[in-house]
Order: sequence, then C-alpha cells, then structure tokens
Amino acid sequence: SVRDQEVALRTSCTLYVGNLSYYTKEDQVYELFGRAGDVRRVIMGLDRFKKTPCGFCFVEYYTREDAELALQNISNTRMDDRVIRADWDAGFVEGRQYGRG
Amino acid sequence: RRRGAPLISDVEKKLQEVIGKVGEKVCTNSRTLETKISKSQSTGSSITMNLEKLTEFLTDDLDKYRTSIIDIVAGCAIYLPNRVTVYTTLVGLLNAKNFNFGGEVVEKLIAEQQDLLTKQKYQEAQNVAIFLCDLGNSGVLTAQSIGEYLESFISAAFEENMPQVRNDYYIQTVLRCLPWIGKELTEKSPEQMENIVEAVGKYLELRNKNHVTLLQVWSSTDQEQEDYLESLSAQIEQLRALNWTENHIPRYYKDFEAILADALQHNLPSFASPDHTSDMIYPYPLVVFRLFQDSDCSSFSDKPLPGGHSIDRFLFEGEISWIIEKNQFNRKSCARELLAFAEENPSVPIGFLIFETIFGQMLRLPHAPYPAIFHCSLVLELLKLKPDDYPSILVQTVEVIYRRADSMQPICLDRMVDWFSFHLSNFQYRYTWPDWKDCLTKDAYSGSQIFLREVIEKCRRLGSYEKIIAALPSDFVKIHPCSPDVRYLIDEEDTALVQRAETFTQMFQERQPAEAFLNELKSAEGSEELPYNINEFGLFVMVMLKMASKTFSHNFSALFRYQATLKTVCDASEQYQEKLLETLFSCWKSNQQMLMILTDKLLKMQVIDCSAVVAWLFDEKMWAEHNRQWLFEVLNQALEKLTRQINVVEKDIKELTERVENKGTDDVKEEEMEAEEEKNEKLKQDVDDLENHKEKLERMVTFQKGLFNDFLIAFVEEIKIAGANTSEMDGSGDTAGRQSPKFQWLKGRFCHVLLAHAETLLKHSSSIAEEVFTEGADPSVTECFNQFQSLRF
Repeated sequence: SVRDQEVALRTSCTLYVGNLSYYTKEDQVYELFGRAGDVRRVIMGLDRFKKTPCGFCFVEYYTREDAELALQNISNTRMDDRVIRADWDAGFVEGRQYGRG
Repeated sequence: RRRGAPLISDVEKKLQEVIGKVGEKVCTNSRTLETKISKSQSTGSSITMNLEKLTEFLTDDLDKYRTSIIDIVAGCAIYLPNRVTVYTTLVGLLNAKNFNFGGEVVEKLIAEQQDLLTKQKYQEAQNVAIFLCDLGNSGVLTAQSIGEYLESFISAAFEENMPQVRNDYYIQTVLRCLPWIGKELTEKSPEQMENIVEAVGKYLELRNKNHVTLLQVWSSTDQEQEDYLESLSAQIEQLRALNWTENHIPRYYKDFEAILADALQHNLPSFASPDHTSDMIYPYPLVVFRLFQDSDCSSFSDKPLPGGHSIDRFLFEGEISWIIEKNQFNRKSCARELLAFAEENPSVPIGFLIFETIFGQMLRLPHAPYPAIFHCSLVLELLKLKPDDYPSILVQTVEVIYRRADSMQPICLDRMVDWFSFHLSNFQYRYTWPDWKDCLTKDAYSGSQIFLREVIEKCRRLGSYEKIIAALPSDFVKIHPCSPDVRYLIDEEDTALVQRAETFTQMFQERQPAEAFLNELKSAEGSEELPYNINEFGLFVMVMLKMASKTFSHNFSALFRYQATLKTVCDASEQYQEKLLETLFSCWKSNQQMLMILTDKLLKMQVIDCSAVVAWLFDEKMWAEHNRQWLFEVLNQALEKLTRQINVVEKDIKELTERVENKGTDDVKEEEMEAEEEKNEKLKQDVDDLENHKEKLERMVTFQKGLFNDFLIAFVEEIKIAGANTSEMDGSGDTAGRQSPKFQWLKGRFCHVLLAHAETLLKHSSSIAEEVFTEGADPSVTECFNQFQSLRF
C-alpha cells in the first residue's frame, strides 16, 4: 500500500541512481558511491531484452546514514561526464533491474 | 489531536522563525507571520531596524510566551554563534524594558552550559561562554562579574592532576571570549584583565607541546603550523596591545547605546567546572593551518589577505567554520551562505580564506570534522556558483599542496588523493598535468610522485583505464597504472596442474555444490592439521576468481555460492587463509579496487579473519607495495571493522546494565499486571546476557590488543630495517637510511595508523608502550609514539 511504501522509503538504505551513461560500469559505481560509506551491493539496470546497461542502477548501503550522505553529496555530481541523480528507493526486488531499453 | 495544543506550537513556530531570522539582512518572512514584522523585514531593512521592531513585538508578548522566548534565545546563543551580537543586543533591549527577563536568560544559559559540558558538547558550551561575555557589552551583565566568570575558567584549568586537553579547553574558552569582551574588561575591570593574561601566559609556559609535530600536515614549509592555543594567545596579546581594535565583530548594541546604558545590570555567577571522570573525552589539540600568503593572492586580487598571525584571519576562519558547521548537511546552502559571507566582506579576499578553511578541515588530524565526501561536493558547488573566480583559487590551492607534497604526512596525502580524483572526475580528468613532470624523476617514495601516482589510480577507478591514459601526457608512461585485468598464471608445462585446473573449471561450469569441491580438495596424504591440499586450494581459488572476473557481482555470487567450501577450508588452518589472500593478490595485483573490495567481502563473510589480513599485508613479500595507498586502506578498514564490532558489544552491555539496574525500582504499575515469575525470568535472562556479553567483549578486546601489538611490532621492525639500510639506494639513489624518502614515508605511515585508530590505541597505549617499544625500535619512531600519547595527555 501507499503507507507501506512510505515507511519503506523512510527506512530504506537503497538509492535509485538515474541518468547514468550506458558505458558506466559497475566498478565505477562502487568506487564513487563507496566514497560515502560501505556499499552492500550495486545492481545495474539492464535493458529487458538486450541485457545491456540502460542508464540506471540501485546502490544499497549497510546503513541509512551512509545512504543519506551519498544522497546529499553524490547526487547531482558527474560520473562519466553525466550529472547523475539519486533518490530513495524502497529497496531492490528481483526483476526491477530490467528497464525499458 | 487535543484542542489548544496546536495553537501553542504554532505561536512557538512563529516566534522561532521571527527570532531566528532577525540576524539576516534580507528577510523573506512567510506570509503567515504577524504583519507588523513581515512588512518591515521583507523590504530588506537593516539588522538594527529588525532588532528594533522585534523588540517592540516581543515586549508585547513577553509575559505570555516568556518561557518559549527564553528557550528560543538560548537556542540561538548555542547554535547561531555567527549571530552572537545580534542576540546579545536583543537580550539587552528586552532587559532594558524588563529587568527580570535578562536575569532569566542568563540563568537559562548557565544551566544549558553545564548540560552541554556534561554531554561533552564542547564547541556549543564555548558558544554559550562567548554569548554570556558579550552580554557585558549590551548592558545585561556587569564587567566585573564577567571578569570573575573568566577567572573561574582559569582556576578550572589549574586544577591538579587533570588531563591537559581538559585544561586546554578552559584556557581556549577564555581566549576565545576575549575579542568580544576584552575592551570592556580592560576599561572597567583592569586588574582582572591583568590576572587573566598573566595566568594564561603561565599556563602556556608549563604546558606540554609534544603533540604539535604529529598534528602538522606538512613539515618544512615557510608557514609553520603552530600550536593553536599558543597562536591564539599571541593573537589576543597583539589585539590587547592595539587596545582591542578589530574590524570584525559587528557590534549592533552600539546603535542602541542610550537605551542600553540606562538598563539595570545583573551579576554573572562564577563558572563551576563539571567533575572530571575517566570516560570524558575532550577535544584533541589543534595546530593552525595556513595555505596562503599575500603573494599567492596578489595576482588574482588587489585586496590584501589578512596576515597569517592576525586576529582577523583567525576570526574569519572562525566564521567560515561556523557557516560550514551549520550547513554540513546541505552543500548547496552551505556554498550559498559562504558566498553571501564573501559578499558581505568585499574588502578581503574571502574566497582564499574559504578554500583555506575547507582544506584545513579536510586535512585536520587525527580526524576531519566532516565526512570527506561533503567537502568534495562543497568544493564543486562553490565552483559552480562562482565560475569566474573560484576555479583559479582552487588551482592555486592544488599548486600549494603539490609543492608541499614531499613533506606531507601520508594520511593527509591520501585525503588529497581522494578529493582530487573525485574532483577531476567531474572535469573529464583535465588538468595541467605537464606542470607536474618534475616529480617523475624523484624517488618512488617521494610524496609528490606518490600523490600523482595515486591520483591517476583513483581516476582510473572513477572513470576508466583508457580515459585516464588518454588524459595524461605521453611522457607519464613511467607511472601509468597497469591494465586492471585479472591475471591467470598457470605453468602451461605442468600438465598435471593444467588438468586439475580444467577439472575445477568444469565443476564450476556444472555448478557443482560446495560439498563436491571439498571432497575434491581433500588431500590423500592430508594430516589432521592440513586436511586439504593447499596448492590445489590455491588453484581452486584462482580458477574461481578467473571465472568470476567480469564484475563485482559475478565475484560476489561466486563467493556466496562457494562460501561453505571457502569457510570450511579456511577454518581448518590459518595457512589456507594465507593461501587464499596470496592467490587473490596474484590474480588481482593490478586492480587494487578488486583487492580491496574482495578482501572486505571475505572479512564480512567471516571466511578470513582480521589477523590473517594484517599478517598478509605486513609479510615481507608485500613490502614492495608499502608505497601504495590501497594496502593501508585495506589495513585500516579491517582494523576499523573490528573496532566497530567492539563498539556494538559495548553499547549492548550499556543497555543491558541499565535494564538490569532499573529492574525492580520502577514500573510499579507493570508489576501488578505482570506475574512475578515472568518478571524474574526476564531479569535472569538479562543478567545472563550481560554476563555473556561481558565475556565476549573481553575476548574481543584481548584479541584486538594482541592484533595491534603484533602488527605494530612487525611494522616497527620493517621501519627499522629501512632506516638501518645504508647501502640500499632508493630510486634517485642519492640518500640512504634514515634520510631516505622510504624511511620517512614508512614512518609517516606508522603515524597514519596511530592517528586513524587514535581512540582505540590511546586506550591500549600503556600495553603498546610495554610490548612494542621496549627496546630496539628506531628512536624516531618511538618519538612519534610519544607524541601520539600526548594527544590525551
């Protein structure tokens, strides 16, 4: 429900990161987002059919504080020359990595 | 919701907003506010006018909302230190109209100050002291009582058998108050002023200054980093000699002299220092950080930079720090406010001071006050807002830092590497790289070459190998990083080995379970101690790493899939852990990021333990990597993780202790409802838990102590060898032994480890002194350790 979603967002340690270059690789995401804290995992968004990167990813931290730090300081900076944008995500569920190509 | 409650909080909210904004020159009040306020303020009237109107407004409501108003004013005193004089003037004006109000504010502030000190909020408690002193300027307090108040801080600093850091804090508080109230005291209470100055002088004479060298970012520069307290004292002395003339503090009360002069004044009671207990942690000593001299700015700006020793420089730094502190969670508003501050002070090249302050914070030892990533993004934001001026100031900053790199402490150099690589990744790695050609011919352990090499490495990780190589001049090939691919080295001649590798490959492809691999690795001639074939285990790991080499995700899923195999083998003997780490290194030698992240993952999965990692990193085989940053990052991360685990257990113990102690004393009502038996059961459970936790903590702390001692012994030994080795020529080959860059660098890394784990190591320092520094350590390393110990002297 909407309420559950709200709670999930408020307690989440996961960020949705958008506007990535298609060429940006997972290890770059680790390096950049690792600057804000311990990253649990990175899930690259993939084109549903071609299974190639399609411009977004999820970054999950161990703690909420680290995720907050990343949101405050990494969102709207550049990676591979694109201004990336981060926002809270309610948490990654299998299947969500597939975007529209 | 209950009726009536929202009304009060609404009023409070309004009051908070009105009072909170009085110090802003242009107020954009929300439309919901009282019209008489918003009208006067929204037009951008002066602070003096704001104050007049606000006084009028608050006087009307003073009786009705007294407590709220006092609370809000106290909050402003604590948290808006850059507006001190605004609020002391306001309190003065209200006090002139209502004598009791001033007294109540003072009472409240004293209580708050005590509370802040017991909560160890030292900065905030100091803000209160400055505020109280400044109330002497706005006719609320008598000069004499303020003098006595400051004298009581001095007596607190002279109490016997107290840590020096505590005494320092009290002396620093007095010194920080004096720019505000010095003039008034000199005029109205000259004897006390003399006493204070004399006592401070005596205090500084007797004080231990061992810590200074360890806290300096760099040595041998033309701007020596003095001890902060000494420098502050010298500045205050200078200010006093100038009869307290400064152009910095906006003294709003001067506009209301006539009103304030007639007000009745209160007496400020003496300060009572809270009792010292062994668990109190005082701020670390500081050294002054200066980046720029007037000559650095002259080509950019015709405005003179306040001298490095002037009180103006110090006060500007203070204000810039306050703005940063207040906006530490919002880089955009932080940058905006810093810029507004620069515009308010057009006669000073504030831009340089902003960058000086930010980099001073980044490089502060032992710890920077904010997370590094905040400083990184703040710098970007500043450049965005001021694209015409600030980029060139930043270039100047980088140049000054690079020029000093050879004498910079490794811990600080690392921080600069991290910042600069992030910064460059926002600017397509474009920089005037050829300017740094000079370091290529220097020693491989020289700070400037290490800086350049590590910046390139981190740029590679943030961007890509191809991109950074393309951005560099061609003659930088000497320090190009290796291509970060997996290395899979198998002796092709050894057919048995090749065959085994093929077997493993096939097993992985068939997704055989963890158990199958265990059986495969069981050694025929295996002993109880070494039940698995160690070389085959290495081969298994190598094949796995090769097959999973594509991304971190591939690696992680391989590790999780075969966690049971890895863990069972590694639990059998430390030798397997060693083998695992060695194999990891040989496969990913040229990809430090992979080494770091996989080591970290293996630690988290408890396949390997911290002591194995430390032993691996400091084994002689790895000495060649000791001029690289990654190794110390892995080391410090592993040690930090252990500390964090200990902190968690400590916190649990604290909570359990509280629960056990409170049982039976409160919760009377609950007692009726809860069966006695059940309650006893719970209590017993808590007591047991507590006991277990305490044992666990003891085990962990003993382990940690042993780990640090073992590792420090190994490190001290390595440094000693580097120092004694007079025949070995490093890189450029013109220096040897203890003058060599290698020796200096390793010694600096030793300081790095001490500083990075200061809280833990200061706790164990007597055991370290006994076990690590008994005899045979290089005297200059022992000296570092002595300096370190005096941080909590």
